[in-house]
Amino acid sequence: MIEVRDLVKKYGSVVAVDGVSFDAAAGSIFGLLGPNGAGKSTTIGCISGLLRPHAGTVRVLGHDIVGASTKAKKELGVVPQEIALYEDLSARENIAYWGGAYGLSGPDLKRRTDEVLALVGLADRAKEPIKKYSGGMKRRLNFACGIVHEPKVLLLDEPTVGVDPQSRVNILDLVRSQAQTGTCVLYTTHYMEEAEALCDSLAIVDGGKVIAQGTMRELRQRTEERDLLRLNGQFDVPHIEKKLHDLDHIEIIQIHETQITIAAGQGGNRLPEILGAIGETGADIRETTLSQPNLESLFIKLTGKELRE
Amino acid sequence: MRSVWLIFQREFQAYWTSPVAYVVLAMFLILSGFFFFGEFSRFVDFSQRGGSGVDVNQMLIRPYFYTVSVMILFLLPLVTMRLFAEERRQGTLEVLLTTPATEFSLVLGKFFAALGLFAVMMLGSVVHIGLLFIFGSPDLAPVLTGFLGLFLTGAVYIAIGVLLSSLTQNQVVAAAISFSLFLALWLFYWIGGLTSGSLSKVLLYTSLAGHFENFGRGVLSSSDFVFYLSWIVAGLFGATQVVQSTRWKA
Repeated sequence: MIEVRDLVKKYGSVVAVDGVSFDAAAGSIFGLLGPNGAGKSTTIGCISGLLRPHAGTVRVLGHDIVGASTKAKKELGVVPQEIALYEDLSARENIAYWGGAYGLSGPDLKRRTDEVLALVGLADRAKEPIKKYSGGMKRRLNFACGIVHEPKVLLLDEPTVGVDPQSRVNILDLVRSQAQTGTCVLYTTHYMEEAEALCDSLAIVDGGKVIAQGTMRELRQRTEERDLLRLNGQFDVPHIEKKLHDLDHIEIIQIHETQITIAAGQGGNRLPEILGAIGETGADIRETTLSQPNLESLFIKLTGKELRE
Repeated sequence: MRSVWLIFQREFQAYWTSPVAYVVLAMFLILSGFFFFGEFSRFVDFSQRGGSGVDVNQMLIRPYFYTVSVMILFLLPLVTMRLFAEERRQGTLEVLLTTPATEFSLVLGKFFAALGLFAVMMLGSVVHIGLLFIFGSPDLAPVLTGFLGLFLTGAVYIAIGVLLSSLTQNQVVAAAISFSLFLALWLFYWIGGLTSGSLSKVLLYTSLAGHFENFGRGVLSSSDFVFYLSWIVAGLFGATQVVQSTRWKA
């Protein structure tokens, strides 16, 4: 449904998206996971036709987003990161307007407006001006506007940013329900937990590049089921490196004078051994964090930094 | 065409759900009524004193049109300032650009919506001039050409206003720049009169006031039409380019 090949987008000398390629299929949720500024929104912008790429191609149901933009755009629904609604209109009027922008009219538009209002739980407050809505309600309405025309491809750019936990659960349920109807969903997030809970397959992006890609299972396998041990304190780097190299099945992911990140199989069981080795160097360990293998540990393994940095 | 209609409806409705349409209409009606009364009183006074060559078209209608054409120079920036600036501020422009609607259809829809509100404003002037037909018999042709000139002048201001609104997300900035430019286009006529040579010719040709005078006199000239249409096309084309450039900058 979506084919992205060697996508490049620059802002002046800054390369925001650098050779990104992936495919997303119908009825599945494809995630773009990465920290803020990784190039996720720019990638979505290029796929949606908002931004013109400097190189590469984007095809939506076989239609090139640059060469056949109108055909491609008709198949797309976009839910932007920032709420994009008309404050002077009611929820019903907002949905009807965006539905009209995608060519819906008459009884079809009314039917779909009623359906999505019910779907996002705003039917009973549909006639109120949205000025009176909470942030979570506006988020849900933003989502409704993106799906009113029953798009075959739905682009969601961090749709849960800044929402309360209950609204987040609602939105994630809505995303799953869209995929179940056969829609191809592209979902960007910097919340690792969301990506793990929601996505069938995923591309991890950093610095405008895809640094890992695959199904959730494939990506978890890449962590080699190793725990991640992070230590904060004061460390004698060369001395510690030598000590850790003497230990079996341990990989130093990152080492600085104040922080060390280590990947180790059965990390919990080997904690005394590792801490003992480091302690022998005279290190001052102030904080120790042990985490199970997950996308976060994969991201740290690949980039040497946390997803939230 | 569908999206032009959709945008037109949305924008025209937005004027009436905010104070903009009411404030602009009230100001227009009060000011134009005041000036009409002033011109009318002067005309009646002159007639009663037995002035020779009393001509209602020349003494009342033409100055009235001229005054209204200056008034709209102040009022139309208030009509155009929100068109794109508000979309940018709300973040809806970027989403609109992901729909199948083209940039030109967005520009055209907004242009027609502002033109629609301007047409409603003009109804006030139709009433004023209509009163003269009830109590007298002015020449119809200069009245019709006067209205046409007024409408085209308004369309030029609106097209330029749409362009300037597309350049910023601050409505006040859009209105201030629009007003300054409209005023400059009007004042070129006087500045052109004070200068000489090719500069004078350029200023006189570029000025809206000079071309409007022909319409006020009942003269329909193709060069005046071309002049007005050129400004309108330039404004709308420029606005389309600015909106398109969002795709590179957003």
